[in-house]
Amino acid sequence: MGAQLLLLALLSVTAEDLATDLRVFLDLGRTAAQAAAVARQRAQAAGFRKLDPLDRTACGAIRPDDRLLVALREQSVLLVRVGRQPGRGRWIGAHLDGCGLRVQPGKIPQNGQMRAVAYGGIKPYHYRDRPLLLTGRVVRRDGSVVDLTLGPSDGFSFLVTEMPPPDDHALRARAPFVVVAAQTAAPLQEVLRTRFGVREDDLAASELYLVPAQPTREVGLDRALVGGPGQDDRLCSLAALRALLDARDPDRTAAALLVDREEEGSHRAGARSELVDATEACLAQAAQVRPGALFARSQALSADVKAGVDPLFPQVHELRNAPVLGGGPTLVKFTGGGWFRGSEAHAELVAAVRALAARIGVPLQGSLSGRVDEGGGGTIALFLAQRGMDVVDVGLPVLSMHSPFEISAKSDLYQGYRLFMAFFEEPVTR
Amino acid sequence: MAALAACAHEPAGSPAASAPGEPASAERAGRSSGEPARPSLSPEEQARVNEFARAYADFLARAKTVREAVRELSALAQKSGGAVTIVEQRPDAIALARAGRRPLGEGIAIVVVPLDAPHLRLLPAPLEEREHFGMLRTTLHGTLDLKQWLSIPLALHGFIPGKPGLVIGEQPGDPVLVVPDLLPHLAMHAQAERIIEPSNMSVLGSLGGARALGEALAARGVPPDDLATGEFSVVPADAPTFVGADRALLAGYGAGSRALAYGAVRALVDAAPEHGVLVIGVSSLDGASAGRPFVRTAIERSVAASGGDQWAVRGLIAHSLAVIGHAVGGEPGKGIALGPLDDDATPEAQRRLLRGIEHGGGRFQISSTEARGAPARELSTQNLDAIELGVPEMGSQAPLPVISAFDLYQGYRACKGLFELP
Repeated sequence: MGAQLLLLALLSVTAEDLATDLRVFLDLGRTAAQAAAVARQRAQAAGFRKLDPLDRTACGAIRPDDRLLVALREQSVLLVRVGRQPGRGRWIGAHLDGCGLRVQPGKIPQNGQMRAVAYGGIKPYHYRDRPLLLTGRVVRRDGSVVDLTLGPSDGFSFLVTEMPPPDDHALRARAPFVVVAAQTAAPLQEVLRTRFGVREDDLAASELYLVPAQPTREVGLDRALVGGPGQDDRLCSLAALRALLDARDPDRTAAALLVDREEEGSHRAGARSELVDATEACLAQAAQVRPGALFARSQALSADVKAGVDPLFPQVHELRNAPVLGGGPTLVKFTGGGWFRGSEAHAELVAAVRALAARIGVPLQGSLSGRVDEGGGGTIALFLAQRGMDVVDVGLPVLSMHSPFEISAKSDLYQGYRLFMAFFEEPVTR
Repeated sequence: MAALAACAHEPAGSPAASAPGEPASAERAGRSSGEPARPSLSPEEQARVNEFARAYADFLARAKTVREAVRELSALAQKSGGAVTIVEQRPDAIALARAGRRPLGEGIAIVVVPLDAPHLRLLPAPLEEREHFGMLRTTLHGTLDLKQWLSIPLALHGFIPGKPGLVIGEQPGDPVLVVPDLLPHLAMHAQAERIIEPSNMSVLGSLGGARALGEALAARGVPPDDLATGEFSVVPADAPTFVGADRALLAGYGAGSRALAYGAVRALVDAAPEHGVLVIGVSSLDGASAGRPFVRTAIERSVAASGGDQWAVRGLIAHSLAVIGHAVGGEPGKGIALGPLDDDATPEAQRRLLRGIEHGGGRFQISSTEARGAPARELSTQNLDAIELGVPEMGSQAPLPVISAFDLYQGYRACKGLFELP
């Protein structure tokens, strides 16, 4: 306990510091690729070096205390701190993608009305009459990559004027939204050409999103909350990133897996990516164990946001098993609606995480994904479990999840950060 | 859409109607391409439209409540250097007058504009605790598309008699309030019938409970007693924003309903009127008669100021034309919209307004809205010809209605033309 107090004094990271950092992270990382870029920059500034997990020689040269950065394409990132016991691991997985609108690639229609489709499960009405920012990547005909952002700093926003009707009971929609880019195609074409050197033909190869243009805000007269888009799951991603960067001398190999595409099935370079397995094989070789053995000797936290009790709709929650904002991180024994992308943690791991939290004084809340038969949601836990890791869902509660103005509590982020860091730092006991 | 496009009218004096043989203007080129309804403007004209819209956006950002709108319009009138007089100013209404070259007895032009916009109003005892959160109970002021008000940053504007006003959420460093919304994952049953009940529109005010929220308000100079006496409006926190790379549209709280209030007062300041002009801002046109007593009072005051009596008032009204300036439908981008013309004004009065719009070079359309203009009908019982005129908007009950900058400017031109009509 004395050592923990000393550690806290040394830390000097406050809840306010983290909340400010969160707002910066959210405002800079509007897409998974942008958030991954921020994570890479932070890691490189903290001494992480790039590792190509397909490079046999590089893998052979890995040593304890190495700080490694693996870019899973441009959109996801795996950060590793090699432990003094490199054959054992502690992983935290979180996702960098957030819900929003994705622009359909191709030319801008002559009437200036672009088409966009939902990315992730969104309620269409949340996106009507809300100023939007266009951001993402275009690969030009010559192969060069352009990162572009157009929005309020250019003196205008984009706006949805027609939304598709909801097509399921959860009010979600898959049909296209109509987005005003201008009264004709020409003004946007001109901005793209003069500002970014992007011609209309170039847009055929693009990944462009329309995300809320508003910057994040503090919410509540007590300034205890943060509101803004993409906190599902950049909130947990930031907690995991900061915990990995700040952790001291992890005994086990510590890894933060921050991935794209969770909201759409974890494909491409998401949680299911072979590059994660390749990196494990690389680390296993350096630890002189067989591929897969590091996974098998790892515990993992699947760090995703959880639905905090909604003050206006408490009836959808199982109130004795639902987290409240400000109550601390959530520990989830099982996720999914009992059938959908479900995952159930071993009691031993649940006990270990509860004991760890109790030791450092982090409050933990139980959580289910809503009342039985009200719906639910999954996380990337099962993709970690499939690799042989022992996984439990530990997350942070948010309100208005999947809306363009998600809300989290500063104190929860702080406690989540402490828990994640302790998880990485916990020494191996004999 | 097509039917409305056919209703778009071209003012006689505009470049598009100029005689054959004149150099083809940008507008003519636009029309010859088979796109008659979408006007393209000369660079100078476009610059004027843009400047006007920017100034209007600034006005909207400062005038989110009726009281703030009265304050801003009053300040605007004072820029005229004394030509515009404030006939009457109340906390929630204002009447501005400017003398014309002709005597009052020949009639005046009256523009009546509403200053309110839909919002949430705190209940007198608003503090409550729900699931540990400090919340503020509200009632609806005006017609709100409730689901559009969920999960957006909200600001609190409070007026307390004898105290400085309270504004929270308008500055970038301010915290905001919000009505949270249910995540789609769990909305299947709870929101199947209706997204949210009006009685459930409570605003999240603090992570701490009702006591913490009450203390936070008291620390900002609003003890519970003041909550009971003051007026507290919850409005969207965001400033207006231009929409699209051409900045042709403006999205902002109250953008449609206050467009003619701003346009009329700007025209009043800029015009050299032929007849006298009275611009009357009232808190609301809802309920048909809400603004009527103040309109009558304002007319009487302006007549009394020039020595007239009740006979003069009645005589003046008989020769005057009233324009009710509020959103009356129409399609954005096609010009200022006239409400249905068939009912509340004589054809002579209609012609006078149309001549005024043409004189000012304004472009107009006739709205095919189903909604009959209750305010105009009410004023017409006063022996006053009344016509509704407004800037078309999209999403009038949404927190950020959208208007066209072009239409906004046509509203200004229409008013100025009417004021200066010989």
